[in-house]
This record gives sequence, structure tokens and C-alpha cells, in this order.
Amino acid sequence: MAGSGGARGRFDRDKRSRAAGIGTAVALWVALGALAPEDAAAQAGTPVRDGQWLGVGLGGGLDQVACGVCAGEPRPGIVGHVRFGGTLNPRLLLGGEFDLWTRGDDGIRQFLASLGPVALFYADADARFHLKAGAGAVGFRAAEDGDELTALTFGITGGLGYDHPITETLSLTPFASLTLAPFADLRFNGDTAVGDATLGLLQAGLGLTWH
Amino acid sequence: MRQRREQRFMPLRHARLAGLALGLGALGWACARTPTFNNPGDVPPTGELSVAFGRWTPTGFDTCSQEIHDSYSTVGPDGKLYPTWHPPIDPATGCNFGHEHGADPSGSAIYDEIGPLPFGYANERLDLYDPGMTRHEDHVGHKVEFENDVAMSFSGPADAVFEARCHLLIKLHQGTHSKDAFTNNMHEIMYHARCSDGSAVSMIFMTKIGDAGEFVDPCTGNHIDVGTPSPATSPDGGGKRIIPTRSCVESQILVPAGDRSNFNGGLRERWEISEQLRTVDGHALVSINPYFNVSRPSRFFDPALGDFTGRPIALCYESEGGLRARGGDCEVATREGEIQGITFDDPRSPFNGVRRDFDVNSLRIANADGPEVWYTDPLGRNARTEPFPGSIRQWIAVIDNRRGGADMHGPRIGKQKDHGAPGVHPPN
Repeated sequence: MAGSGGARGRFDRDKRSRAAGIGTAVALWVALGALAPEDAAAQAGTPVRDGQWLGVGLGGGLDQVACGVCAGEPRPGIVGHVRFGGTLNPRLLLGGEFDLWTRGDDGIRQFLASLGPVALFYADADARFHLKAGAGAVGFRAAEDGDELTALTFGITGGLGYDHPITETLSLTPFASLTLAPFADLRFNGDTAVGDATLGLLQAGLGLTWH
Repeated sequence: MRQRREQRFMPLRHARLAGLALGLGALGWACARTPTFNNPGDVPPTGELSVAFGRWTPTGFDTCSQEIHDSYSTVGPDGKLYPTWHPPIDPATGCNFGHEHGADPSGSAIYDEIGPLPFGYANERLDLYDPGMTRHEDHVGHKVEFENDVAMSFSGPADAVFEARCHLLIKLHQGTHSKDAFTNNMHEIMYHARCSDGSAVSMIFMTKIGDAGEFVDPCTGNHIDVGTPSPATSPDGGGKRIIPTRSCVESQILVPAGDRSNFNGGLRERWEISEQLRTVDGHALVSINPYFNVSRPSRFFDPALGDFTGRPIALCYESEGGLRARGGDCEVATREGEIQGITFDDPRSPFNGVRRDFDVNSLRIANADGPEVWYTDPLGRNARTEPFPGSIRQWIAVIDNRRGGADMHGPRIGKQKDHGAPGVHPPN
């Protein structure tokens, strides 16, 4: 059919390679964590994980909004999180977590945030390395001069961290996590602009954890 | 030249020989390659000549014959023979046509889909659709521009997230050498776009640029009522035609000693289109608003003249009260007044309309329910899914790219690109 185009096909944006890039970054972080030498403080004794706990973190993150018309490029920004909860047992901590990523582009301020329950798993009571799993609401907002592009959907999060002891109850916690939130409607000033978008956030940084 | 090679598939070189046209046309049709938008292959060549065909004849400045000129032809969707793009100098013989049609469309990434452009097709269909609304435009005013892989923008914050690139191929009849556009707002446009987000259109119609019978003064913004348009029933349109007036040109070009003339500011036309393809019930399937700009046209509006048509080159020789053209194009063309007698149509005149660009602006498509093929009247209205007498087949991707108001729009293309060549002169 003359004119039927196949226009999309002529523009190869190679989104798969970008996703692969994010995956590589996570794998690299895991590898570096595994190779990190334990120092004297880390070997000081059994970590105390009991009762309520609180964690805060700051770092860098790559946001990605993927859709049929999205640029889809991972975009760096600043990330931060707050999480708190209770200790079910020394191997399992349950709580809630709020994550926020932001960046500015030519006057366009963008945010990606997630809020939901989170679980931290330790291999045993002595372990400091932990895995994280969570789920919850994920929202995106880009705004400029009264216009806004927004999305709100459900996402899942996986991550890891390491509680490097500073005192008996305070740890320095390097962390990394990946959040994926599919099936998002991107809305421009409230009206649907694009459906079936996927929001992603890869973040890494340093945190403080009080047990 | 690719365009020239296309002619091998076209029905004839000696177009006025109707019998040969019919025979070769049938042969060309039979041998046709992949159907294109402009020649989908469902109508065989009829051997009939369009009104637009054969309208150009050489002037005393031109060295090509009409026969050579008319060999650049193509069969339109209706099977008739139309003039099409050609270079300003014939590569086979080296002769010059004295006019240019802008960028060679075969350089467009979507040319294989679109095919050669049948200049004057919408005008031809208008004859059939409404015999009382005849509008045939001259040959030299057909101007082609294209750009591949154009980075588009999106409204507001969407621009930080969305991305699209388009191949654009556009032809507008934009005559800037005569009085035509002082009153006439109907001009043929061919608009082809293929974009990475799925947005795509191929449209041909008579666009209505501003109100009929008037144009807009660039210095004051006033609407200058000139007279009755042709055809007299020309409907008003969106946008406007901004054309230099004598007073505006004087203020920019005739300057006192020590100043320099502002040819860029004083001699620039801007045709702002605001147009839609609409269904019978008024739904806008496609909305576009490109602006077409021409620097140094060979005319301006002069109400003191019988035909209202002032000539910029004449300003180079004017002097009144110490005011005269100083520097720039006049200085170069006349060697500071040493060279006398350059007329408006002289190839030595720098005021020939070869420097052009256009602003893509927005491309909105609201055709989520389809179909891809629509038939509109030659004015782009009354779109239906079945053809009707005088209708034009339009192709529109099945998409709604309005995205809640996060419109897609494009940048300026060409930026005063010089389409000139040796021998090109007004009328161009």
C-alpha cells in the first residue's frame, strides 16, 4: 500500500540496548559489592536488628519513561528515599518506603516517585548484605509553565544493600534498586496522551540505617 | 538525475503528440513499478493533458525549449499528464529553464512512496468539482522542499519525554513575482510526512491562505483590501499572506546617507497556513499550520501602480530627497549604480525569490478510527470514504497524535536556502 509507510520501522531507537545498559549497571554494582572487603568494623560482631528501624538514602538514578512516542533514554537525576518499619525477625524486616527521583531540563522539572510496602531479606542473623523487594504506587510528573505530563501506576521494586556498621545501631548502607511500573497512562494536563507506558527507575547511593 | 530517469517510466516526452502519449502512457502504466501515492496504479494513463501541462514557454533569457521542459512530466492519479519537478538547468543539454522548483524531491527519504509530484493536480480536480471555481496557477510558482529525519518537538513538558522524527516532503505553489497573491488565497499544497511515532499523511489540496481579496502588510499588520479574488468565490481561510508593501519597503530600503538598506527586513514574504482536512460533518482529520517564507521576492504591493506590482530592482535606481537604496543587493547588482537598465526579469536581478524556508509547526492527526484513505473535495473539505466527482484521494495514518494537547511540531527548514542557479530569473 503506497503511503502505508512502516514509519516506525525506519527510526531505530534501539531501546533494547538501553535496557541492556541498565541491566549491566546493576550487575556491575552487585559484583563490586560482592568484592568489597570487610573491614574491622564490619567484623565487629553480630548486627543488631530488633524492633523498629529507619533508613534514609541519597544517590543518583536513571529514570526511563518508555512508550510508543517516548524518547526512552535513561536520564540521570538525583534520588533519595526514606523507609521505616519493624523487624519481624533478624532475617526479615518489613516496612514502607518512599523514593523520589528528580531532574530539570530547560525549565522542565521532572519527578518520579514510588510509595509502597517493602521487605528486606538477610540470609541469616549475622548477615549485613540484604535483598529488597517491594511494590506500590509509582508516579511521574513533568511540569513547565502550568502544563504538566503525569502518570500514576503500580510498580514493583527489587534491590540490594549492605549494612556497614558505624555504631552498634547505625549502619552506612550502600544500596541499589530497580523499579519497574508498566501499564501507565501518560496524561497531558489530565487528558490521556499516551497509554501503556512503562516507568523505570534504577538508583544507587548511600544511606543510613538505624536498627 | 533521478528525476530524469523517472521519465523513462512516464508515458511521453513529446507530450503534445496525443497519440504517442496514449501509446507510451499505456506502456508506462503497464511497466509501472511499485504503486506510489501520486500514481497508485488504479487509473491507467489517459493520454489527456492537464491544464497545468505546457503552460511554461521560454522567455528571451531562457535557452531550453518548451519541448525539453515538457519532457519533465508525470501521470497524476487521474491518468492525466502533469508537469513535475525539474532542475533549473537541464542536465542532458545544459540549457536553462530560467526558473526553479526548489529542492529535488527525489532526495526525500519518502520519495519512493510518494512518486513524482503532479504539479497542478488539485487545480485540475477543482475544475471537475466546481466548474464555477476555476483556479489555475502558473508553472514557475510550484516550489518543493523536503527534509529527512526532522527532529520534532512537543508542547511544554512533554518535550522532555516524547521524541519523534519525521521525513517531510512539501510542495506549495507560492508565486512571488506577480500580483496574483495580492488577492488570491487559494494555492495548491502537497504535504507528505512520515514520522517515527506513526504519524503520517499524504495530502494534496487547494489551501486557503488568509482571506480572499486581501493580504497583510508586514510593517503595520494591516489587512490590505486589494480587490476581487480569482475565482470570485474563493472561500476565506485561516492564516495570512504577509507581502511587502511600497511604504514598508521604502522604510527599510530607501535610506539616508550613512545607513544601509535592510533587504532582509524589507523584502520578505511570509505565507502562514492554518489548514485542516475535514470530514463531511466537520471533523478535522488533519491540521497543519506551516509558514512559508521567501526572501527577496521580485514584487511588492504598490497601490500607485496600475497592476499594483512594484519591482524591488527598480528601487535600486530610485533616489528622492537623499533617500536611496544603499549597500547589499542593490550595490552588488548595479555596482553602486554603474549598471543601468536591469529589469525585474533580468537574471542579474537578485530579487528573484530563490531564497526560501518554511516553518513546519504543528502536525495534528485525529484519525484513530480510520480509514487510511479518504476522499476530500479539492479544498480539503467534505472528506468521505468513497470517491466522488472531483475528489482527491488523501492518505492519513490511523492514529490520534494530538495526545491530549501535547502537540507535535517541527522547526524551520531550509533557513533561506538558496535555490538559485545560473539563468534563474523572475518570474520564478
